Amino acid sequence: MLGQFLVHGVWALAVGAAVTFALGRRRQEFLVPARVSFALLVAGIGVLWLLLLGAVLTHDFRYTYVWGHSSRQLPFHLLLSSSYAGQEGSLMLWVFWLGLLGIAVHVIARRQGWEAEMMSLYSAVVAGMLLLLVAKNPFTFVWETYAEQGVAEGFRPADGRGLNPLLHNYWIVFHPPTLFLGFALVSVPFVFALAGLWRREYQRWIVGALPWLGIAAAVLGGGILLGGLWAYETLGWGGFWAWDPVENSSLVPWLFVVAALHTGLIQRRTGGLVRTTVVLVVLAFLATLYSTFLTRSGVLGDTSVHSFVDPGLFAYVLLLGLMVAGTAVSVGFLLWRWRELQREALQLSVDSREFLLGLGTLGLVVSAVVVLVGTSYPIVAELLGRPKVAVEQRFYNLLHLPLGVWILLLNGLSLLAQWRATPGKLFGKRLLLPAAIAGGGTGLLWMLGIRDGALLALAATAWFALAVNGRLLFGGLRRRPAALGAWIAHTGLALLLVGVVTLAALSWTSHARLPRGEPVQLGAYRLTYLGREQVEREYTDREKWRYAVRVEHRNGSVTIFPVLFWSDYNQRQSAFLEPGIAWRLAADFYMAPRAVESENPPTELVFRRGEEAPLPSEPLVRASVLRFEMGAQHGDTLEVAVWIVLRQPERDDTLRLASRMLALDRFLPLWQPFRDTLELALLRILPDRRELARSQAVLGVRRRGTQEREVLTVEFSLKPGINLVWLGGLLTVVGLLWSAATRLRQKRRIVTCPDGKYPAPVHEAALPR
Amino acid sequence: MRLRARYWLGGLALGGFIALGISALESTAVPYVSIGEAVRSGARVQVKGTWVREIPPVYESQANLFRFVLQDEHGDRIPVVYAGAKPNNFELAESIVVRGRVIQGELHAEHILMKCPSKYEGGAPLPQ
Repeated sequence: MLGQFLVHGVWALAVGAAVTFALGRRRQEFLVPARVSFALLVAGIGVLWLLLLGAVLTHDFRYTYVWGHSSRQLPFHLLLSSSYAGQEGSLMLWVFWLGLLGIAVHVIARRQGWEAEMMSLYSAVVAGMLLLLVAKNPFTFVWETYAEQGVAEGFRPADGRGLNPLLHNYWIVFHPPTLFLGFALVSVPFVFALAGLWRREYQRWIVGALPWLGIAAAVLGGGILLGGLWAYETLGWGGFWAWDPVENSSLVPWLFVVAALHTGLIQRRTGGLVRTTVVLVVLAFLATLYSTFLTRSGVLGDTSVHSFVDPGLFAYVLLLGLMVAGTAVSVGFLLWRWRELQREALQLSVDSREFLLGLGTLGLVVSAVVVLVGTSYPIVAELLGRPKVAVEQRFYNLLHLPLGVWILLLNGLSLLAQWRATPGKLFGKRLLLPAAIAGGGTGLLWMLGIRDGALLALAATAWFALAVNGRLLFGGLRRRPAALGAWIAHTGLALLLVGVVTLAALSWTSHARLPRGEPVQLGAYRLTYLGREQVEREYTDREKWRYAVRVEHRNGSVTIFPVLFWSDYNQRQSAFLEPGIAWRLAADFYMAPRAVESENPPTELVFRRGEEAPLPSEPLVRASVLRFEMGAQHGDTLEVAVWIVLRQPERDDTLRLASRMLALDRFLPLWQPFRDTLELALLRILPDRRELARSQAVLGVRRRGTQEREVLTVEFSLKPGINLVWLGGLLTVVGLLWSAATRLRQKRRIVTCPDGKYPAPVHEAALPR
Repeated sequence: MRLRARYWLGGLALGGFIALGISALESTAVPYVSIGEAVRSGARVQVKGTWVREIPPVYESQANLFRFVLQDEHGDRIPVVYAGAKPNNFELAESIVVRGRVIQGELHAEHILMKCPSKYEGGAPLPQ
């Protein structure tokens, strides 16, 4: 009861804070209750989170959410993760981050002197998210959810449904919290922007917002990157990015944030592009709302690998309402101040850095629009009354080739240019070396065998951007360590794209059936399936096997361990698959398991004592079980045996078939010849616990000379360039964080430029003059 | 560069990209249809349905083919062939979206999408 009540209470506090802070703009006395309700709001959110965590950790299965997403078997870290593995929980996590961030936002808002406006807007954002939590309440009891089943009040199921085995790894500990922190962070620059409009301080807001744009881009980007690693390392999608709607809907806000970061830089330097920056920040925030709507309303249910649950009509309408409300408020603010926003248009000269930077940013915006259109197309088509459709991955790849070229080219060019204007000669001089490096690098890829023109063009611009930024990085390392962030991030992005090109053009995949112990040649590689080993035996809810495959290549050999496991989660109907990866500098070996089969399995006959059946392939011979024999100890193992009678037209034979019992369900059969053609064995015994005499014996019959063999089928691939992707992604995140951190430390000064003479860029020294 | 020339150039580039975008959208959008429609058209389509549990799915490791039978909401059935193994979570899938084309009465899948854990949230009975 407490949890459900508290969710409503906390929501009321958020609304209260939003209203009182707004009133506090004019009348100081309102600020005191506003601060109190905001403090209570943050505390209430903390309590809510602790309540949910406590319920999960103490296995309080009275809560439908806890029952549906965790179980007693889960280890501690997965138990923690199950607190946000489902819809309600992930909303709770988002709200939790908003609450925590709220403390920081309050501090900076007061320091900025914008407390009333910023806190009113921020509280409104929190109230919106809390409203979703009211609709998808994690503290609903099972007897409320299943009221029509007549569940008794106070009923506590013995155990929970558990967590999808695909989520059982350490990635779930890091990926979702990072992503949701990123979403929460996007609201901070949004609040800055609207507060700036409210206060008519159109230049000052960006000074405060810039570092937050950087942090949001870094954290959101880091979350996306972790998702890619997860997909690659555990889920066995083979790649790191699939243009899935859920992935896309986290990419779109990121693109808008990065675009706003760049136009924000132009605004800070030149005082121009104010409208553009405000609009981009607003779009970034609305994109997080839209992404919430897409991924939680079930509208894209048929087009994504991620699971969507229909949240019910109420939540659906609420999500839609929130999105509409968020858009309406933002558009309202923009229209209110639109005319004042940019009285003097910025004079952009073609050879200035601000112009080239603006063009590059346009590329980011177009990319965001492309992803948005592609993801929303199924909905748009349905709304237009056209048949339901969905676009393929090819759509995004096709359009992102020219966009990538555009963005990387302008990234390099804009850094070569000076603010305001660049003399042509200087530009040419600076262009020379990066252009040469781009040519050389592309030539290298050509020699490696890449012939695709579009990919080569992308690679050429990536090398170009890499050369420009690498040189600035190298030159600036000693002079201005504080300004390195941007170049690190750009170097990262360029490396990432070189990696993507290499991976797209040069990765190689082949399918192989690997009989145990028998080497199979696959191109330049020799694969041998060595054997398997059961892991995680401490868990009774799964049977997890690690398969060892040796890969011999020119310079040595390495053993890879793909994993197959059966879980109670799907009643062990089929195996869950995890790839095995040998992380190597130049190109990973990636092995996705496909199936495990038995080759030449013996024919099985199942008997009770006294039952009789013909032998397969020898129908004139009828077999029956005479008696069981629990035999002698052989070292650690027990020998069990069955005496059988084989009735034949000419005579009867009695045969003792023995088997070593390695475990209750594992037997080592000892094969016995019968006639010249067959071999028989006791494969296992199916004991009848109530009446031992009614136990069943499973006999195996096989042709003489055939051996049963296990065959592992795998998909083996070579992934060149994948490490450039990870390294590049990491550098991008590090660079963004670095620049945000240095910006936070910088003295806040208001930049205006009445005469258009802005300060010289800090890194000019690193370029030839 | 004169201002007017700049606008022309910008407009041209943007227009070109939009044209490319629309043509990409048209060529990569694959419609969702029923099995009957998929058989009639023979075009690349996506079919949503459930896999028929009475007929166990088979993975032929030699050929690397996965076969199962798909049933759509009208109750029509069609055998599906997929070049690959049985996907993760196949049993859990409450519905499946298959993208591919029908060739000689078989739906040749190039992509299978599992709609998984709609599961226990609502609807699913609570074991007591």
